[in-house]
Amino acid sequence: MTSYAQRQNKVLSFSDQGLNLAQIIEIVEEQTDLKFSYSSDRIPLNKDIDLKKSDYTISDLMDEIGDHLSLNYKIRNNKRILLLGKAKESSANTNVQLLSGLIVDELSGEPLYGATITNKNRDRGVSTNEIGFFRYSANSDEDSLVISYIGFNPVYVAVNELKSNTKKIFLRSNIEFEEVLIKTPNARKLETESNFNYYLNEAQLNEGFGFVGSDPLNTIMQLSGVHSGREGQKSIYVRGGSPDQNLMLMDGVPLYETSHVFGLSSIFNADAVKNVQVYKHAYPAKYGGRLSSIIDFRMNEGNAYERKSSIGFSPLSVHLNTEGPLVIGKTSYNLSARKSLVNAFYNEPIEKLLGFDDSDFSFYDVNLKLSHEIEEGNKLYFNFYRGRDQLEVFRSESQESALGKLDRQSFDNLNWGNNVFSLQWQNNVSEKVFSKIGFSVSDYTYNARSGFDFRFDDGDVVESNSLDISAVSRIIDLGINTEFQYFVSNKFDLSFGTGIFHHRYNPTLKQSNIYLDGNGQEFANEAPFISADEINAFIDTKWHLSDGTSIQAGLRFNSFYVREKNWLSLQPRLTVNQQVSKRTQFTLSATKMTQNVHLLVNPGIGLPTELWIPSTDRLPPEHAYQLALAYGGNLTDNLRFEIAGYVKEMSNVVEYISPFDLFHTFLNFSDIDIKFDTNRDWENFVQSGESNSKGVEFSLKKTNGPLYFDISYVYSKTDRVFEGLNDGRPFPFKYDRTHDLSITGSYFLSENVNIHAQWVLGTGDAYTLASQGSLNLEGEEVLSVPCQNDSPCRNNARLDTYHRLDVGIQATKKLRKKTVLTLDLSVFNAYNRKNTYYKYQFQNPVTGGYNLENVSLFPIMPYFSVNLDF
Amino acid sequence: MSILNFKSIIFFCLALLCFSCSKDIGENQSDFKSNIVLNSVFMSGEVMTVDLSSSRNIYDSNSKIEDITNATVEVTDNKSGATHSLYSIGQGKYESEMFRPEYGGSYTVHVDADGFQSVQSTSEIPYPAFIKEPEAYQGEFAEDGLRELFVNLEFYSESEEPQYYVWEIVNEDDKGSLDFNYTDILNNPVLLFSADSNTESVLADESFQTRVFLTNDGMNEGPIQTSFVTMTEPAVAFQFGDEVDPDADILIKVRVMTVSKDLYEYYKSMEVYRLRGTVNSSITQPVDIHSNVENGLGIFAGFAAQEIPIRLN
Repeated sequence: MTSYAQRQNKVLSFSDQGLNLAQIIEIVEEQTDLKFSYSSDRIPLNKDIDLKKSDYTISDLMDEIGDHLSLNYKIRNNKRILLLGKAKESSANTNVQLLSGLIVDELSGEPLYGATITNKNRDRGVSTNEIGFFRYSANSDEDSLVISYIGFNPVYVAVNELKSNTKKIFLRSNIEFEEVLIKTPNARKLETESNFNYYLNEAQLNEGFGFVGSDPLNTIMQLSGVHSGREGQKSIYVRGGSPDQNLMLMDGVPLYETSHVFGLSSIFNADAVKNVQVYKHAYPAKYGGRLSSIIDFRMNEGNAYERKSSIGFSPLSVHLNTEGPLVIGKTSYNLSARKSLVNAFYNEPIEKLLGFDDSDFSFYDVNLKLSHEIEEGNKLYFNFYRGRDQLEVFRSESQESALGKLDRQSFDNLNWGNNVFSLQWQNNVSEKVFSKIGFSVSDYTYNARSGFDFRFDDGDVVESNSLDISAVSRIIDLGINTEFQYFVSNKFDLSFGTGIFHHRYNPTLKQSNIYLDGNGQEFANEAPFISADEINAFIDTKWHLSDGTSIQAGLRFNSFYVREKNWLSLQPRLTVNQQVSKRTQFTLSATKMTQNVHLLVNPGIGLPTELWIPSTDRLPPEHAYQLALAYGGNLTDNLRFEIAGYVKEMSNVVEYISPFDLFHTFLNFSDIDIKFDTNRDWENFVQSGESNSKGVEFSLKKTNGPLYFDISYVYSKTDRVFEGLNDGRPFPFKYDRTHDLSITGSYFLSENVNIHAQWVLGTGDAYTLASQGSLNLEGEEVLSVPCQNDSPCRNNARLDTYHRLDVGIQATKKLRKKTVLTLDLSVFNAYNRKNTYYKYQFQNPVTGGYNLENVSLFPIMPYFSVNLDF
Repeated sequence: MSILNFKSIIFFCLALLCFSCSKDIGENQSDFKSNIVLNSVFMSGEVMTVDLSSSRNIYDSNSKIEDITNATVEVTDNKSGATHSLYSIGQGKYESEMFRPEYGGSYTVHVDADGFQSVQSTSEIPYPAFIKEPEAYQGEFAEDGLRELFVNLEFYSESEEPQYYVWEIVNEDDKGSLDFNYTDILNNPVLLFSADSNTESVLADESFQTRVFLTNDGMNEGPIQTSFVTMTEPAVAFQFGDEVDPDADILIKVRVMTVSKDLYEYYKSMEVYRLRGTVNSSITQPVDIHSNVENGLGIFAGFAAQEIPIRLN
């Protein structure tokens, strides 16, 4: 009451009495923390009001305005003033009018993608595209439109205001109001409404737990139907797919490697990411090139009106972000950079854990995005990313016995990274056509070097051997792509486009220097680049048949020309959305996807080498056919549910058939035999086969605070069939996860403090266990996989069930008006579950018996981060 | 959607969670069942010996590999239809002096033993390959005293079926036995420098040393041509330091086995197995040792063997 009374009695000063209503509102909002809400078509904002005095209390002022303009008003929740007026007379124009506009955030000037524009009855509407642009065909009886976007106050705009030219409409964030002071999860995991895919904004992307704190990819891993691979890694598996089957886009540019420090962190800096769309089914035809998911990251454009910065620190990295205008309202930038601190905090424990004498783990990345508005509806974007990882380990060992002295040394060095550059021009070409033209370059490089020295001195003779091997994998992509959005009507969306790409793959470049008993041999095997040219074209339509029914149909064409072989594919996409009740709807989708690149992951326990390889004349592209059905909606105002099922068949997926490691010295140091295959001609070591996946997914979310939760459960099965593996019979996919349960919750203790927790449980990975001993021709015991009762020989065993609890607390404190300190404290693996990272089998040299040992890498791990926004 | 439906969904999810389960197959495989392990490689004109033993669960300390001595072993000549019984001679070995397989013959072995699932396997004895007189010449002495020996080999076969060869280089100290025992790989290294594309070494390439080469003509028509160089033994034995005798004879032999495809795959997988060692983990694929024994393990295969001496003056 005190606060209310204070506001009511606060004296407002007006130096100028000749003001219109809009100016008065602005002055009131400047001098108080009161905000106005009104419909612009009902309130005469431009009408002058002759104020009789210079000082007013709020109530006096509102009474005078009310008398002058015949308006009523209400003050709500002590903070908001609602202006209630009469509707303007509708336009006499009886023709259909084509309107256009740009919806932007009032505070930052950034466009709002996916904002909805409807008539007052909300029975007809359109939504904005990536730059916040929309077109709306207004009927003669429609005099105003409602612009709404989650987390922002809706705005009413008169049709007349949009007639003449493209108008910029500003929406104001509603988080300033008391009733929605608790931000976050209100909008968390808001599915793109039509098809049960996902759209995550900046705040939601910061919620995910990880081994080293929040990470955008961690949030994605919590989505229903998405799960992670090995603990601590950022590999994503979507509906039975493998990690390479996810199209990771950074402002439209495909990326190949998206992790830092072996996946402890992703390359997506939360400071630099604006939003992400995740598609696990119902793929629009404009996307292609991967089989299982589309993960489309859009990077921050930067605030066009004011400069903002933040600096953060955690044991993993220090990060800096700055954004602001170069030309106010026109040109903005966003610059983010991270540098790892792994060396300072983790090197010593890692060296102790793995027995290294010396090690070096480090990474850095830089994101820069510039945007320039040439005119309204005409924008230019420039995006640059560079990231690099470095890993180096060194081990040595010395043994002395009666036979002599043995000295062994080994080193392994890995470094990898991406350079990404893109330029995009988005333009409202004509009354009905909006275009996007982009140019992009990406360069992914992976270097691996490994070697060892062996020296044995028996007193008389010194025997020394050494090996030094290096491998390079590199992919360079150049691309030009266009997309046109043609406005047909409010009920019919049409887009089409094309893209031309040139790829240069260098799957491996090897150099080995071998010295045996002093005899040196050098072998260089420079594999040539494989060039491939890709052309794609798409057409996508969305037809809103009625209020509750829509059909999205598209077709994508792809041509991949490599080694004089032209792989052609037509990929139809069809999605039907039907509203079942006021609160629920279902989506049925049938899609075909084609993938022209494959990822070979070293099957051995040596260095975790990965090799991206293109389809060639001998290795065909992969294809996936998916039929998916999803049903869901709101159970209550706070509870949202989703049930989805899918069947997916993939062909020409690849498996490494060689049991060799690329390098075999990393974890196998005790075995000094040279186990190196220099002729790693990957085409001879891979095999194509089929993969069949099916599953059901359930999720339940509470979307309003102070308690939020999100429960998702997936039951799925993925089998692979390869002619040359497992006698041609189906066997479980390595990452087949029969059960996958995730429970995430958060509770806001106050406006500034929340506690959060996440518990995950999943079936252990499948692997092949050779547990049967038998004699070979020479009478030696050899191990094999018991293949009995038609059980699969390959991947015949499972790792232990995986489960883990993470807890954390986040507190924010406003130090000054625009300075906010955020402190995160969390505990990864709170009950110290020793989840199996991998199992290894060894023979006891004394007893001759075999043991199977568990290796667990990630124990209970506290973590903190400090972030300062200013 | 009523609250009843909501409860139903929750109940369904929990029920599915509780009553669904995946079978965790670990090292304690209680359903392990021992198999018959049948090993037999045979030549034309020689007595066929079949070796029978049981397999074991390596994680069960009570499980042992044992000779199977009470089995019924019968071999059928698939061309004549005649069936021959083999008799136990102890230590799990079965033979019959009355039965000697022949070139080109196809034979099926059938084994019944109490407590085991019956096994059977079929194999042929291939005809030996025609090997052209090898061309060989010596290189210069290297600084370290080693002397290179270059050999060109050429294989022929009149058969229209793919032929499979396993060959290795041995020196004259070897006794010429054809047991193909695999000793240390570096004891007798050979560098293959010009290989037919169908010549495989498990170490796999033209740039490294190996001992056993596997060649097949399954993909190429015409003779298989291959060249190799050996730098250490036997050359080093004769050509070291002050004892170098440029006039000394050097004798090496190329042993060639013409084998069935199954035996070829077996040797290949054994080479890989040996190179891989016993290192095995959940993130590797263990080596699958090739077997052609139905319902069991082991190898049943015929082969033909030859030795080609290479003598240089």
